Amino acid sequence: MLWIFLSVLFGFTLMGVPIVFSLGVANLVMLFVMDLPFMVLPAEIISGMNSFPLLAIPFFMFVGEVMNRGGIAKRLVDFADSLVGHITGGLGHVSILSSMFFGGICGSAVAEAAAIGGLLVPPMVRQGYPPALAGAITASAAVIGIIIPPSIPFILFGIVTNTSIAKIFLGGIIPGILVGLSLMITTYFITKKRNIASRRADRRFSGARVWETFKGAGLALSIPVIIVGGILGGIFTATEAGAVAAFVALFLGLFVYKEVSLRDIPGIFLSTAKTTGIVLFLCGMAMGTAWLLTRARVPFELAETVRSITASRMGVLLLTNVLLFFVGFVMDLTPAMLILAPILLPLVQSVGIDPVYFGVVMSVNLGIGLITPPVGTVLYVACGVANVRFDDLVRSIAPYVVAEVVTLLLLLFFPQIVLFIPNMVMQ
Amino acid sequence: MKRLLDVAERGYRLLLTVMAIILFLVVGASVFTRYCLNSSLGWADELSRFIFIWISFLGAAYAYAYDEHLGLDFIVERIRPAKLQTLVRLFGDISIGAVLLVITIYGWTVADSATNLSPALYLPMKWIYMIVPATGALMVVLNVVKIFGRLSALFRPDLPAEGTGGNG
Repeated sequence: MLWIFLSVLFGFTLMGVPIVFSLGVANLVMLFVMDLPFMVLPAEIISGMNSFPLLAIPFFMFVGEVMNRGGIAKRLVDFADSLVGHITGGLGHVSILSSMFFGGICGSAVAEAAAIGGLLVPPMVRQGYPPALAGAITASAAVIGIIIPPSIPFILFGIVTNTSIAKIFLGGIIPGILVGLSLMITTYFITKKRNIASRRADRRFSGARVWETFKGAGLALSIPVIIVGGILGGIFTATEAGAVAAFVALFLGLFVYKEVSLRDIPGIFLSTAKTTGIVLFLCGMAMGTAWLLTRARVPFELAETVRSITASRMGVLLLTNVLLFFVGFVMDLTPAMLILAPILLPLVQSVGIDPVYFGVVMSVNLGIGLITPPVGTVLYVACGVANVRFDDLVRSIAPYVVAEVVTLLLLLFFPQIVLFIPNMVMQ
Repeated sequence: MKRLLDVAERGYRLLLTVMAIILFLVVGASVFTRYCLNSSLGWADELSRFIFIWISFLGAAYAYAYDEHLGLDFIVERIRPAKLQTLVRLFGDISIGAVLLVITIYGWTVADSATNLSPALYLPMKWIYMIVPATGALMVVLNVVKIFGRLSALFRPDLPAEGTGGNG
């Protein structure tokens, strides 16, 4: 059944059929083969969507829309520049640190690549970065957006596996920072070797400048504090935190930074509704797929196969991660998460792997898939903002993919990195 | 005819925008009353989920009209001659049509067989689920228009038969 599903899905995707409809065709074929009524398809789509936690998604989308227009991203960039702009590599580090701040506000890597890339690629090129390298840094840093909470993939994992979304959010904090550090180290060595944006004598770290820019960015940075603090304290669910973040972002854009006008508001709501439709239709369809594959006993068979190869905790963990890494090349994050999380979780739980831990690791792994060709949504966005050819971007991004894989391996060998905060806070 | 389509599209956008604003306000109000007034709105949770389902389907149909659903175009784009590419895309559109027909027809069956009322608001679930066949039918119409666009590109030698052929 797995092979039928995969060949139909990839066959139609390669023909240019949108992923959601390729999944739809694959679902129809599976229904036909399994001799189930077609009614199952719409019924599963509806029941998949009818969920309160999923409602967090439009709010985080909305925050992303407001941030793109409302001058919030620009202030975060200024603040990041005052902190790390003086290091060799200059704006490359600023781009990565801004992505980390931005990641605390917005939960989507695509929104991040568009916002930060749009702001920072032109000045990076002026500073001497080749456009392909500037695009590569933007794209690889955007992955942090889905690791530092809030994060749409974390929400999806929590929903389909019934795991505490709050705990997964907390588990993403340290890994997100580690990915950021690994990218900054990579940037440092690349720029040093190629003599890009080298250290200037007239540019020093200045506490006064940090304070000055912090006054602009501080209010925007209150959003991640509200989200993480609210969830930490058990006050908010992810959906409520999303709603609060959306109100704060809109308030800042309208009244404090004054870069959103009342006339922009209908447009922001309309494009939020459209992206919600795109993501949720895909979610519903992928949840239908997951239901069908489970009903065809695919998770059971997969677990049997894996356990015939290895029965150790580490063996299963490494094997599933190799699988996820290869899936990341050919499949987009959202459908991969929704289809594979329910299939893989029983397997990893059977060898004693913590679901919160696995949710974070799976998101990081599939997040790397966003910047690996040929299917990498973030790569396409970065091609657009940096105006470079796909092949050039792919060549420049290779060292960053390696850096993120190294970070992933750290998470695999030291689970405490992920579990430290959630275990400390929620017993 | 053109003007009629324009008006319909503007109405559709207005509907989507207004529903998104209502969703925003309902969830906002429920968070506010729970934390500031210490009383929860039982109906808000339910209403927000229902509006959310409607927005998802309406937004999906809107995105379909403009060919904005995520997909891989870079392989099909390279198919030459252009007629063969159009033929491949035509086959893709027909398969999309099959999925949409199933969603519309069986979505109707699912909605029509729902006889219960929602627990908090006593709304008939039938009407909430009816958004599935409604937007499904809309997408079927759009799909037929797209298929005709491809066919006319296929049988007219003077025009370049490329592009995705989006229709408003």
